[in-house]
Amino acid sequence: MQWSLTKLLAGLVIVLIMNAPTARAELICLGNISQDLIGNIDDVGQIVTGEQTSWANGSTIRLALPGKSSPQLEGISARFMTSTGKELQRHWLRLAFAGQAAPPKFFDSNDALLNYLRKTPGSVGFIEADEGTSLEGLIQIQIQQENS
Amino acid sequence: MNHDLSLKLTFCSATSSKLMLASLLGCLLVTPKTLALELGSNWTLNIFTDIQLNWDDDDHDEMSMEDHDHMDDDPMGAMHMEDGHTMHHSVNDFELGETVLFVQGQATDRLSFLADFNIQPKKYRDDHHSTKIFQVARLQAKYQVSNRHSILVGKMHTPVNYWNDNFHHGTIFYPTISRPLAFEEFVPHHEIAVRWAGENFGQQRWFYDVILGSGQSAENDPFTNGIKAFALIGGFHPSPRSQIRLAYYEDTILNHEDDPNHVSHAMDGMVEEGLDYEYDTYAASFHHESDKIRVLTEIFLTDSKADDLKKTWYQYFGWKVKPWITPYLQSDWVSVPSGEIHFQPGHNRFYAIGADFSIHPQLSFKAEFFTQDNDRVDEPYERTGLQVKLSVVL
Repeated sequence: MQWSLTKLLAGLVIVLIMNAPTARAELICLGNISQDLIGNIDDVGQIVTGEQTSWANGSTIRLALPGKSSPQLEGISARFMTSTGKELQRHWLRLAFAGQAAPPKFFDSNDALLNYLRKTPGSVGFIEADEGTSLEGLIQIQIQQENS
Repeated sequence: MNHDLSLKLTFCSATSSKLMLASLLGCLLVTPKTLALELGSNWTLNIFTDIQLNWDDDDHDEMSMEDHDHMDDDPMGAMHMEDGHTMHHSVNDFELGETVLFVQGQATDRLSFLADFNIQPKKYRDDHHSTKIFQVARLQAKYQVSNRHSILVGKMHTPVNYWNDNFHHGTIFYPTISRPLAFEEFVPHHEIAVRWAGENFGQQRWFYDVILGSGQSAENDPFTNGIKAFALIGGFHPSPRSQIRLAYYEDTILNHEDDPNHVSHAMDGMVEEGLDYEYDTYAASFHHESDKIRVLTEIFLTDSKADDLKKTWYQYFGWKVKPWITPYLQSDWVSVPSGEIHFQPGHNRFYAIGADFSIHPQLSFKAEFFTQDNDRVDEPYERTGLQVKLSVVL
């Protein structure tokens, strides 16, 4: 009886551990821009789609995105373009070829993307960050809840 | 064409064919790894290339490649090729597309450069009168004046319709295998010009372009005859994924009868030698692309004081059954009224049903069944067939 009770308690502990709240990564938008340029952004989704390619002062927006085959890029494409990551890449190839925008850069790790943002004035990027991610030197830009 | 020159061209064509095939294979091998080759932190290089295979039931225009190469000997030989699109499919079972070297760079926060060089053996070029294997399609500088206004200078694609402004040499972006028939005769592909552009006005993101250009007769000599071409383009986005644009373009072909670009559709007695040919074009484009459908309409009208309105209409409808499979329907027709003294009168109608398999962002395979009815040539014909195209970008 005592042995069964021990097993039951151990099982309960395991279930509780498995269901314990964990630090959840959240998609955030970061920019290496001055605070006054943020007011120029109606919707960061328009930066992802290439509808907005320059800041209010005319300087070029340099877009940084997660790796081409990453689930993060799939999430961004679905959220802002209702498309797949591959379609987003084709879309940007076309924009670049038409001379309408500078092509985005893709990064396989958050660290590489954050380093690029910190080194590149006028850049904006998307990462899935958790509580441990350092956003030093960058400005967080609010993402609208729904893509207009 | 003398014999030595002919031999040189044949040799160059063979060499460049091999180079392009090698580059295509190279693209296939490395394309999954990158979106563009980075030339330093602010410069990128893309290489676009394609191959096409055609089978059709028409053989009335069959000729040897030697005959084809020598067509330039006959000034009126070009007359038979006024529809280069058609002649390609009748003469070649295999077509090597342009290999495009596309370089883009950001010099400063506001100043960017773009260059688009293309390589293609002469025998595969639409403009058969050209002896150039290597051509500069675009060479332009863009200065972003503000977030809505920019000024461009250089050789550029004339943005008179959606197609030419978005995917002129990038066959991977074409929704169908071939360009609209209007491109063979009516659309001014390139312009050495100054272009003032504005965009993103209001909720519907209105845009406009004003262009002062050298004109088609100037070819690659900037403003050698002064400002000969003018274009005004305007449009808006009725929805975030749709665009409507209207365009007006006017130009004067100088000494039309001798202009090498226009010998190709010159007709006996059409204009007196030394006369200039003034013409206007009006274009309307509609493009819509969602996650389910894609629609493209291109209407192009050409007018002049000397003759009547020429009409072309390209229509595309695609349905994305999967993100990477898009079956489509295409219709394309050209109508030139009888009594026309500049272009060959008659009709050219092209219909196709096909599918685009975009299995990778940098690779597209298209296949289509088509039928064509063309009476704008010396020997009118009807034909049906199958064509496939593989396009790759590195």
